[in-house]
This record gives sequence, C-alpha cells and structure tokens, in this order.
Amino acid sequence: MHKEVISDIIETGLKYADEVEVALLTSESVSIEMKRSVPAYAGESFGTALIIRVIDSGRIGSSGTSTIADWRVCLDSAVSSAHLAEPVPWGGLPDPVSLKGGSLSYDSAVKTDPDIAHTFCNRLLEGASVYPEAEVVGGGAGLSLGSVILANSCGICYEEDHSSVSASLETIAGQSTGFEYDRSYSLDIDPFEIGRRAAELAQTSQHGVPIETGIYDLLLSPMAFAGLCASLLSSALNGRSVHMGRSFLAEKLGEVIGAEHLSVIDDPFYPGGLGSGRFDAEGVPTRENILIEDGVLKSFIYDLKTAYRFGKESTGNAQRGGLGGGVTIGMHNMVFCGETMQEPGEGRCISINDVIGAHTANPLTGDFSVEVQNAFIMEDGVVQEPVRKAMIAGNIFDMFGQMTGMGRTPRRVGSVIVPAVRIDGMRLVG
Amino acid sequence: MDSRLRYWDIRHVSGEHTGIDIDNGEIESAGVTFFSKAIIRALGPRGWGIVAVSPFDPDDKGALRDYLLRAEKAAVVTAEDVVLADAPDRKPLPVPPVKEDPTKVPLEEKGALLMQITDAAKLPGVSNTRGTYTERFEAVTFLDSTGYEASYTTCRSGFSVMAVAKQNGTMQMGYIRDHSIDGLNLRGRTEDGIKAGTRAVALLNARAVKGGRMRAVLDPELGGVFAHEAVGHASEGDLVKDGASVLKDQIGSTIGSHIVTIIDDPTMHAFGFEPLDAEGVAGRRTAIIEAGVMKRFLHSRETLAAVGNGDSGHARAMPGDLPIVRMSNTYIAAGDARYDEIIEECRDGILLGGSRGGQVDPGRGVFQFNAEFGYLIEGGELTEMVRDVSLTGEILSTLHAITLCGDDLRMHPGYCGKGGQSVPVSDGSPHLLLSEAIIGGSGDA
Repeated sequence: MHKEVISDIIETGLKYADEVEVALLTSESVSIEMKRSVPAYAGESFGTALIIRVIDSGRIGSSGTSTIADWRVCLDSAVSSAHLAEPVPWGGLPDPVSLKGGSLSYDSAVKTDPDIAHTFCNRLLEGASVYPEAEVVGGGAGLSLGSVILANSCGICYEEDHSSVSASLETIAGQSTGFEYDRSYSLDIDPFEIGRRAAELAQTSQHGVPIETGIYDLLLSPMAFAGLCASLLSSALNGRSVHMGRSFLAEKLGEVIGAEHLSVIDDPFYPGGLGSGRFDAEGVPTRENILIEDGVLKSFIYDLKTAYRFGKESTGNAQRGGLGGGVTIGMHNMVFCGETMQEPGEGRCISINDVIGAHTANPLTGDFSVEVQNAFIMEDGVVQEPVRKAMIAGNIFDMFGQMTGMGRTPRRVGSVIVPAVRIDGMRLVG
Repeated sequence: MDSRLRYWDIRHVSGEHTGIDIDNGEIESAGVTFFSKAIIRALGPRGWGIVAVSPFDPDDKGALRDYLLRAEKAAVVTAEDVVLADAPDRKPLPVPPVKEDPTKVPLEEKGALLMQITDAAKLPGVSNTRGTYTERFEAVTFLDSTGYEASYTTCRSGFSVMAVAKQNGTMQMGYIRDHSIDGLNLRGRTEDGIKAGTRAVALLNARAVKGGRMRAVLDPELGGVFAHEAVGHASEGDLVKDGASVLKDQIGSTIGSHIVTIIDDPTMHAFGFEPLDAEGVAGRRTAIIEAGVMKRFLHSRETLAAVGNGDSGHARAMPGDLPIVRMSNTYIAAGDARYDEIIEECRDGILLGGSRGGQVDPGRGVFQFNAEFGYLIEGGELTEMVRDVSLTGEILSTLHAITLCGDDLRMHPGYCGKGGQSVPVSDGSPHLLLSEAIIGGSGDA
C-alpha cells in the first residue's frame, strides 16, 4: 500500500517540479525503564514519517508529515518551500543502481519483545550487584525496528531495515556516580557487563583525591574521546562548513593535522556499525571515505547539493534531519585508528572515563575546558586512586597531534568506533 | 474503561514546525513539517504502561481503546508502586497575548526579515554569516480517566544569528539568539546581527585564559545558566526520588549565602511558560532556595507523592514523549548591588558572559558551563577581552561563594535537554560576584 502512495506522490509531484523524492519511515519499539532497581515504565511506540523533497530549476524544497494520508498538504508545502530556496547548479537526483547484499544494520533475530527487555533489565541488576556499595539509580533496556523506503522520480526505490538493541544503567555510591550503556543492531550487547561496569565506576570513584593543577598525560576512554572530539571533527569535515568558511580544516587538505599514525575513516560498511547503510538519504550509494590518513587530511564529506554547488562529488553522506524535512551532511561510522600500544596506560597517567560539558567546546576552533567524570590516577595500566575533581582544557585539533597511541580494542560509542586514546601533555586544573 | 487501570491519560499534540536556514546571504532551506503525536499513560496495579503513537487520530475512538489495552498489558511487568498526588490546580493558565502571530506572516516575509538580521552581521572582518528561524505551533489536548479534559495552543518562535570572523589564519564566532512565546520577534532586530558580527571580530584579538581559582563575575545570561545547572536540575523531584541528587536531604538546610534566592516559575510569561504541564496540572511558582535555605523541589504528581516538599505542575514533555520533571523559567532573584559596585568589589578576577551551554551530574553534585566571552578584571576595572572560558563547581559549596547579587535581573530563552527530550526554557539572573570560582581555559598565561 505504501508503494502505491509513493508512486502517487511522485506522479503528482512531477506536475509541479522537475524531480521528486519520497522517503517513508516506519518504526516500532518496546522499552522498560527502571527507577532505582524496579521496572517503573514499560511501553511501546509506533511511528510513521513521510518526507517529500522536490527540486525545480535547482531549487530544493522539502516538507514532512507523520500522517501519510495528508501527503497532498505535505507535497504542496514542499513545492512552496522550493519557491523560496536559492537555486543551485543542480545535476539531478541519482539513478538506480543495483545494491549488493541486504540491510547492514539489521538483525532479523531482534523482535520488539518486552520479555527480552525485561531479561536485559534483570541482567543489568545482576551485573551491578558485583559492586554492592553502588546503588542503582535507574536504567533500562529497549528494542526497536525500523524501515526506510526511499524512492525518486529517476526510478530509485530502495528499502532498508534497521534494528537496535540498547541497555543502560546509572548508579551512585555516596556522591560518586557511574553510568554505562551499549547499543547494537543485534542482540550481542552484554547487559550484565554494562551493569557491572556502571557499578564499578561508582564504587571505585569514591573518596577521590585532589590533584595539583599542571600538565598530565591522559588516557581517554572511547566514551570520553568520542564525546569530546567526534561531533566537532565531523562538522569540521562537513563539506558545507568547509566551503562556507566555517571549518577549522577548510584550507588544510593535504596537510598534516594529526599524529602520523592517526587515520580516520567514514565506513558505512563497518561490521556491527550503527550507522551502516548501503545508500544515503538522497539515494546515493555509500562508500568508504578516508578522511585522515597517517595524520594527513585527505577529504571532506558531501551531499548532492553541496557537491554540485562546489564542483565536487557526493560522498554518500546525506542524512535526514535538516530543518523543514531537508537533508544535512553527516558521518555513517566514524572509525578512528592509530598505532596500538602494548600498554596505553604505561608510566603515570590520568585515565578519564567521561567528561561533563563536552558539547560546550568551541564548535569553530575546538577550544574546550570540561570537567572530568570517573577519572583515576593510573600507573602502568593499573588504576590507582580516583581523582575528586579536575578540568581538562585544551584544543581538540591540537590533541590530534598529541596522540601517542591507542588501546587495542575499539569500542562503539553511538556511530563512532574508537579504542582508548593516549594523549600526552594536557593541562588539568585541579 | 477497565477496572484494572487505576488511572490513564492521553496527551495529544498536533502542529507545524517551520524552519528557515540562511547561509552567507542565501536561503539554504525553508520549510514546514506537520505532525500529530500522542502519548498514552496507563497506571496498572503497580507501575505505568506507555504507548506512544505517531500519527494519532483523535477521532478514532476504537484506536484509543486499543492503545489503552496495549498500555495495560505493557504495565504488567512493572513493579514500582506508583502513587499520584492530588492535582488541585487544573485550569489552564491564560496564554500570553500574541503581539504578531508568526503563523499569519508568510514564509517569504519571515525569510526576508531573517535575511536583514544576518546581512547586518556582515561587518568588515566577517567571512561567513548564518541565520536560522524556528517556529513551533502546537495544539495540545489532554484527557484523563477522571473525565478531565483541557486544550490550548502555543506558538513559540525565534531566531539565531552567527558570524564567523577570520584574520591571519585564526577564526572566531559571535552568536546571538532570541526566542519568544508572545509573537514574531524578527522585526527591528538588525542590531542583533551587528552584535554577533562585532563579537566575532572582537574575539579575534581576545586571548585564552590560563585556568585556576579566582574571583568571577557572571553576567545575567551566564548567571541564569548557573542557576539552571547548579541548582535547577538537582532540585528535580525525579532525581531526588531516585537518590540521584545531592540536594535530596537538604530541605531546611542552608546551602548558600543569605542573598541567594532561586525560583522556578512556569507561570512567568517567558519562553519556558506552559499553560498546563504535561500531566494536565497548572504550573506554580516554586521557590527552590530562599535566602540561602533549601525550601522546595520541582515535582510531577508522582514525585510529589513520593518525596513531598514542593509543587507539582513541573512535568513537561516533547510531543509524543513521556512527561518528566523539568524546569521552566528559572532565575536567581535580583539583589541590590549595582553593576559598577560588583566589578569594583571583584577587584581582580574575571567577568564571564554569554553561554555556550552547560551540564551537571546532580548525583555527584558537580556542574560545568562555558562562556562565550569574558573580560579580565584588574584593579576593579574591565581590561582585556578573553575567550573560551568555562566554570566548574560543586553544588553544595559554590552557592556560598555568591557574595553580591545585582539589581539587574534579565531572562534568556533557550532549550534544555534531559532524558533525550529538549524543552523550551528560560534562565535568568542579575550580575553575580563569586568570591572563588574554578575557571578553565586553554591558555598558558
């Protein structure tokens, strides 16, 4: 039935515009949320969204609605939206190609079954009980399924399914807090380990010691590193920011911008990656993009509009979520690789699990000063005393140059994939 | 509908969101999206069963029955004994009169007005400007199992303007935003564009500070963020109930200097105003701290029953999302110090202004926030401009460090995130003097 509506929309839309694109998203989920250690909310959700884009003489218009039956209103709105937009030298929506394989971030074993969520909650609590001084504040587990149909007037009609499984737990011991989570497209998350780790962080962070203000070597956990760096680096590599003069990296293509062992790749095919997919929000087939290789800035990422405008090629990085149903530019799976160290915590360093205020970094220049969360003094990889309170200050782009090495095991933090990162010579305010 | 359900309610929100994005003098995109979302909560023998649907058709009575059955079934696994406090005030507060209805102004005209503001930011030295306009018209209907029903509409709109300045390979930005609940705020605002441009250029010559402990003055915008991050979140009844707030056992204790009074007021006609909260309860002004003493928590009906000491009417939600305890309009009450007096009294320290946001861990009692700019204070006078300054502190000690409260309270609109939901709020404060603050910066000297 959906496909009929989509054909109707495209057919009608072509009366008003050169090209039409329709995305139809459906989703369903179940979740259980605990308050302290007791299931307090159990629920399910069902959602539909229709997004229409029209392109007329290089003017792109968009609109969206949750009510598919109202598609005519949505189409009218997209057409009016196009009248207002500044035209770009548009080269057309993509033609269909044959996509290999099936959905990349989908596991058919994932069901929206509340019993699974309930079992996961129990496992979270069992894990937390390993550290009895930590009390559970809250947490939960959820499973969701979604599908996208993307069609356009050039004949594309692609479908992709997504699944997601997640669990998290928050704990407290005295005034020391702990949080851990994981999300995957399959049932491979380990809720016991999530619970155990959340409780361990709270229990072992108690009785923190003050530290002197000064220069320290840091071991940033994947969560701390991703929180500080990922969205900032991603927007500095965004082709639109680059060409509009809003990126720190704009004129640095081909230059050394990081440690010589650092590579960053946007990999839409990364096994188990949450952002994996065969086509982007505009129907452009995705591809692996090497962004930084051996410390050298190699490329930026583009959607169709930005690429046409600046004489580039779309890198398959259009994402939904722009204002008024438009697309933006974003990463699929941002994979950080570097020289792996035998022991990334070697010598004396401060191991930092997370930071408070990562989003307050200067989005343009990368300057930041944030508070550490669950930080420990570490000697040769062994955790010693917890640090009571400290601020790290620095610059994210400088930090890429100060990376000494990385741990061996990468971790998935949202759509960022990174191991622990050793950064020497950072300033801490105690 | 079913005797096993102790209570149910439904909150249906339909409406339109409009967005305009101007990049370097060109309309990048301008469009409208439509939605109709509902959340159904049903209280089984123990806890809540929840169903969230999008789209929701209010005329389909059969569907509502089906959702309630689903919610009832979902609630079976819950084990928390949820009790709801009585809700005495259920008459929606009057929505402030709208000066110029944004929904009546054509998209083209709004685009042209935003263009004037962003164009004004193009001062010498400015290399890029960007402006965004957002408008959210929402029609809310609330219905519960007691037969209570209420509905209202709101329209929030606002803009932001950003300027990027470049010089000798360095780049800085100036950013100004304003949001309103009482009508279109785009006319006659080119000064905001000029302000963003001026700030971006000025920051090119500002230097990064070396962090450490020092005296600090916060401007009203950042003072508001301080109230929000350092006190507001930790006074939210859900965090208190779950043991995740350092303020949980502090009612009646002196936790700040006697000049500190902090209030959350959903009835105030500022950006965080709500005619009715997401549980159908009319909001009430809640004095969290009075003269340094912890007095009241912010509550939902559920957390009020579980914790006490405070007011319900503080549950809020995004369309189609679960109500959670939130702030609305949060501020530090004005004192009697003049601005000049505060700078003079600071003698040597730093003035922090504008906000790039903040975060708190209410359980640990530690917060952080970042200023957009600052000035060094030397010998009781403002001297050099500085950039990228942040402040951290511990909730239970920092409020004692407020030694002067200005007489110039101002509110600033924004959005606050919690539990994956973002809701409109405003924060405010007069200028504040802190006798000691932990300042972070990336400079060497």
